[in-house]
Amino acid sequence: MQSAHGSDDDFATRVIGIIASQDAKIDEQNVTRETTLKDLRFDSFGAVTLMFDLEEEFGVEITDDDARDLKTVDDVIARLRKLCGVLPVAS
Amino acid sequence: MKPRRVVISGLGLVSALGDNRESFWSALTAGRSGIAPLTGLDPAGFHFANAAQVPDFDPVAFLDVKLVKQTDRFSQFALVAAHKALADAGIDPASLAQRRCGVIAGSSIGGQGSQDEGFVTLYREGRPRLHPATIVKVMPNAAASQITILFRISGPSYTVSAACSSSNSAIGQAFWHIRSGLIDMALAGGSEAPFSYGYLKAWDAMRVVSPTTCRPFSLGRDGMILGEGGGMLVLETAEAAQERGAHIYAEIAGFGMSSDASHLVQPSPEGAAQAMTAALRDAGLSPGQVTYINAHGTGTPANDESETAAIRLAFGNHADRLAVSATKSMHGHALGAAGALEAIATALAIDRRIIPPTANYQAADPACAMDVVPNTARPATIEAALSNSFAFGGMNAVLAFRRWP
Repeated sequence: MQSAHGSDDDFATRVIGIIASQDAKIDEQNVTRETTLKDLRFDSFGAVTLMFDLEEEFGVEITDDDARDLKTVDDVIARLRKLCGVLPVAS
Repeated sequence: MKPRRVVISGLGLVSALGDNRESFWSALTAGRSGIAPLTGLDPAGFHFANAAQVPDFDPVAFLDVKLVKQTDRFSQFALVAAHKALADAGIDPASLAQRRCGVIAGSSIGGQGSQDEGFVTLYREGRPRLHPATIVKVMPNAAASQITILFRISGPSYTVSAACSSSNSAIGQAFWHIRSGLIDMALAGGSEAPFSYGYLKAWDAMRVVSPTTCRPFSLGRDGMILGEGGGMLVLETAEAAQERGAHIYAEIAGFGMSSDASHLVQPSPEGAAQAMTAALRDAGLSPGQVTYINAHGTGTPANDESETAAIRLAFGNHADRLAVSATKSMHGHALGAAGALEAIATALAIDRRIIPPTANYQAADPACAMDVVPNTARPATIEAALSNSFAFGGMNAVLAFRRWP
C-alpha cells in the first residue's frame, strides 16, 4: 500500500492536505490515494466547498462535469495535475 | 385553564462590556462605558471615531473550528450567547431534543460583514468566485438556524428583522408562543455584527452617529454610538422553572408592538406610547405599578426628546415618579442585539434590586425632563419594568417585566 501522503510528490501532499483540512474529523494519516470522498463523508455541500478551496489554492477552475467524476483522492490529484499542467512524478 | 406564566431563567451575552453576565453587570452598575476608539477599521473618512466593540472576541474558545469557518460574526455572537444562557439556566443541551423548545433570534442585517468581504473580492479584487458558504453565512436566519443545529432544538425557529427593535420583537414573540402553549421553552434574543466598512459608511451618511460619545437624555448629546454583540435568554414556563429549582431572574409579563405609520426615521411619540400601553395591557399592569423603564435612549437629539414625550403620553403624571435609564450609554447601540442586551440588563436590575444608570450624562435637558438616573446606579426594588425598543421604519416593541416573588 502506498504511503498516505504519496511522499514522493509535493503536489499530491498539498492536495491531500486541503482535503484533510475540510473537516477536523479527517485524520490526514488515514487518507490514501484510493480513499474516496464518500469514505471521508463529504456531502454535496462539503464537496462544493472542497472544490472551491482547491480552485483557490491552485488557481484553476474545476467545472461541474469535472467535479462529478472525482470519486477518489487520486482522481482529484490527477484532475488538478491536468488543469495545472503538472506531470506526475514517475514512481 | 390557568394562563401560563413565562419567566427568564438563563442569561447569556457577548458585549462591549465583556462576554459574561457579571462583567456586564459590574460595568453597568459602575456606570462604566464600553465605548472606545474604533478598532479594526480606519476611522478616517467617518464622522465618528468611537464604537462599542466586543474586545478580543475568540469564537474558537467556545465553538468548533469548522463551525467558526462556516459562520459570520453575528451568528458566532448568538451561538456563544445561547451556549452561555443554557449553562446559566442549568439546562443540559442534551435534554433539549426532548423539550418543546423554540429559537427566535433578532438581527437587523445578518451576515453583512461576510457579504462585504465577499463583494470586496468580486468588485475590487476582480476575483471570479465567492466562497460556497457565502449564502448560508450571510442569511439573516443563520444565527437562529445554527443554534438549532448545535443544540438539536427541533421546535419552531425564525429570525425577526425589525432594525433596532429586532430582538425585543424576538423575545416578545417567544414569550407569546410559550404563554399560548405553542412551545414550553425558548432561546430568544438577538445578535449583530455591524462593523464592516460598507455598512459603517451607510451609517456615517445618515449623520446620526456621535462624534463624541453616547449621552442619552443629556444636554449636549449628539448622537448614538454603534455597538455589537449578542444576547440570548432562556424563557420557560414558571411551572417548569420551579419544578427544576431554577433561579428565576424575572417574569416576562407582557409585550406590546406598534407602528408609527408616519416616517421612516423621525420617531413619533404617539407610536412609542401606543407600544408601551399595549405592553402594560398585555401584562395586566397599570402604569402606576411600573418602577423602571430601560429606555430605547439612543442619545440622538430626536429619539430622546420623542421618547420622553412618549413616556409622558403613556404614563401621565406617573412619568415623574419613574426611573428611566439608557444602558446604551455603556454597551452602545447594538442594533438587532440591543433589545436582548437591555432585556438582560432589566432582568438583572429586577433580580439584584439595582437600577443601572444613564452614563456619560452631563446636564439636564428641559426637553427630556425625567429622572434618568444620571451616572450613578441606584438601589431600588422594581415591582414592574418596561424595556423599550424603537426602530427605523417606525417599528416599536416594548417588553414588560414583573418581579418574580
